[in-house]
Amino acid sequence: MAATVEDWHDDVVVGALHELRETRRRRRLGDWNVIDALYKAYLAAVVGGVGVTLLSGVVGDQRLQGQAVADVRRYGAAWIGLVVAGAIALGLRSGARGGPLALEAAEVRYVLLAPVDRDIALQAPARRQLRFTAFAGTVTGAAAGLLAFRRLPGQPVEWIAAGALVGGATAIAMGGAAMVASGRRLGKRTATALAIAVIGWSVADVVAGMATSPASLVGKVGLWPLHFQPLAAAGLIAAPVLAIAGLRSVGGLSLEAAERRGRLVTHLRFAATFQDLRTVMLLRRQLSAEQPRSRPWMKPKPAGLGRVQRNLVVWRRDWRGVLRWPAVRIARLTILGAVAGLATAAAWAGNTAMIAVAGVAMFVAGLDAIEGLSQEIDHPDRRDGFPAEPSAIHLRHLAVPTVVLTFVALAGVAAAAAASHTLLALKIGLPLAIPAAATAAGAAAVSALRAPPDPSRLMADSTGMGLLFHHALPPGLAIAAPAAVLLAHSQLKAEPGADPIAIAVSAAFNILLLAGLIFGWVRQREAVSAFFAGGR
Amino acid sequence: MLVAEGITKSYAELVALAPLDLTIKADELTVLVGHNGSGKSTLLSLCAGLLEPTEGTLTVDGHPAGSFEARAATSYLPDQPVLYDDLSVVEHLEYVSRLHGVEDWEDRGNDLLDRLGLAHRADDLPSRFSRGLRQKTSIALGLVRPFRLLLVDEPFVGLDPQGKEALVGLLDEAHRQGAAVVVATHQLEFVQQADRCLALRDGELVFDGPAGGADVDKLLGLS
Repeated sequence: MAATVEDWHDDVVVGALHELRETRRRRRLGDWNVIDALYKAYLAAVVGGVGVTLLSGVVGDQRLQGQAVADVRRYGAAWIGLVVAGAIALGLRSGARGGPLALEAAEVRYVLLAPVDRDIALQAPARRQLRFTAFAGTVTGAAAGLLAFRRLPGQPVEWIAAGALVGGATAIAMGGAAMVASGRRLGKRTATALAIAVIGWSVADVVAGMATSPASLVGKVGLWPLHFQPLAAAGLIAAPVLAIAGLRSVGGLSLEAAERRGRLVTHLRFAATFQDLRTVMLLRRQLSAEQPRSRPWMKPKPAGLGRVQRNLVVWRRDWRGVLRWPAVRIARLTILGAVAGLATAAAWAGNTAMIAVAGVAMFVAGLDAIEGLSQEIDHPDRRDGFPAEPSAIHLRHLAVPTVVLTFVALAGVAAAAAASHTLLALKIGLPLAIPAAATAAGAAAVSALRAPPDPSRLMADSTGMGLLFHHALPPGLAIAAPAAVLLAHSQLKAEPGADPIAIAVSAAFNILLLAGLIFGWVRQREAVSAFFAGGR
Repeated sequence: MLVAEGITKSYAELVALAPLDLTIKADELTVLVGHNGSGKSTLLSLCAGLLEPTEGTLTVDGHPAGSFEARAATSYLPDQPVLYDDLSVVEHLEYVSRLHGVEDWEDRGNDLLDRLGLAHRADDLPSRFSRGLRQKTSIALGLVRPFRLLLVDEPFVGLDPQGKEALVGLLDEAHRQGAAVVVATHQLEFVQQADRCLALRDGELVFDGPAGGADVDKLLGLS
């Protein structure tokens, strides 16, 4: 047993590794359910089709002419390059945190701790990861090409092919950059500095209207249907170069990061399988190493012993959590607020579909903001030990998120005002900020509190609709406030002399009523369920 | 066999392991004691090469911990059993043995399964096992392959009395066959059997001496 370690040979070990992996692969394929796979493909096609159709509505189909096409020719490559650079920057950041591979914990413990060359052991998962990323990028790029064709001159096949080429190259470059960062153990600061440099070069290209960076050259490939420049193909070389460099360095990854990442990704897939959006958010934060601050931004005063203080215990607990939010989380919520504001401004300008983007941004911000409530739901045994009704505790947990989301909504109002260059955005947006925050907090609470419907209790032909309703309802609620802006818009159009503030206040009142209904549901959820279950 | 020179492990402001110098000889049975969070698992993970020290050097048989040669010499049994979902117990044994270049693993594997009371579950998937059975599978996997340094983290957790007895026998056998064995445990009975005891408190080595003395009891808060 403990006697010899001399008796193993590289080729034997690597052979065993390949043989056993092949056995596992065959077994997985043996368990493959064709109907299940076809159903998943069907769902993906439906969701993708709906997505492209929605985006088509946003992009429109009015053909660009003359100067507009000339502008696309001049600046388009740099803008596409900026997207490519952003993807590479994301890859570098992900690699610095141990990505992009998500290995099984057992693979780390038994394969990577065995005397096997890690470069060889990790080739198969790394290639698989690159293949998948390239496929996803190619499909996304092709869809983008299809959208571009709706506005720009050229043949659809040309646009789809160019888009697919750019999407695939971008995805491969992103995966390769992540593997290089992970295998070469780039620190977070170094990776961030490199990411800033890559993005900065592309921003300079955008500002100057030139295409000097490799990312901008890839952008030129994306515009081939408009202006074919064969030399731009040189930009595509970056993708295989990064992929080869990544595959060659992948063995240097940190086991500590690999194990942590593998564990979190397993949990993430599990949560996604159970459609547990809130856990997906939590795990995604952990995956990006987003930890609460060990020292809060401010230290709240200790609570007193009076009755009022006792009633404020949930309020104080939630603020303690918020005061430990890392800067990146505060920045993310501010950006989500700005996205919501800009999308609402775009909807005001005529792109009605952007309302959905605004609502979803507020909903996602809401999921981040209801951390205290989510923690309570995650630990039901502790919650049920409190001398209070769980639903009363849940309701109290919505106060702090509403305050936080008001600031998020205000960031949106500021962004919309800056984008539209008018005071009208402030007149409409400010009265709606608190109602928007309350509905977003309520929508997130609805998502966190409702368990997914049990498919066995749904009619077979309504399962899809049931699940769709389950997932669409919470963001649908968060869309109410941005939709109220559109209603205000149509009212102002119908009565040009009307006071916009009065219209906004009236809309705000209606949205507050909706928020009140949601909060009421949070408080009376069990009673409502019991009622619909026939009092059982 | 195992030499640590000034190794530390920190996570931002948290020091999990303060500077530590340590030498563990071959054929030495060492127990590692300390309260929860004292740094025992961190030290074992560092020795296994799963973690990398923030500072200092750690070698196994003269090779850096985690290197190809050190991995061949070190077997690590974690406190939480980690197993594949889609491999049976016997397939696990085959996989791990062959990853270590052992082709004639069956006799040794069957012997381990017998001793740990797992023979009748050899063809079952451990993903459906209880905590104790998973722990036994993990122990078999740690011992089926060749090693010269055996690192064991809280191995008695979840084991029934027969399992504990079998494990003590297996660890003793590994020790007698010349391996350096380091066991992190709270089991006092096992501490008494060891040659040497290391005690950690808040990441610092506070005791290094013969096991079984009154000092160890005191460090564990038992006297």
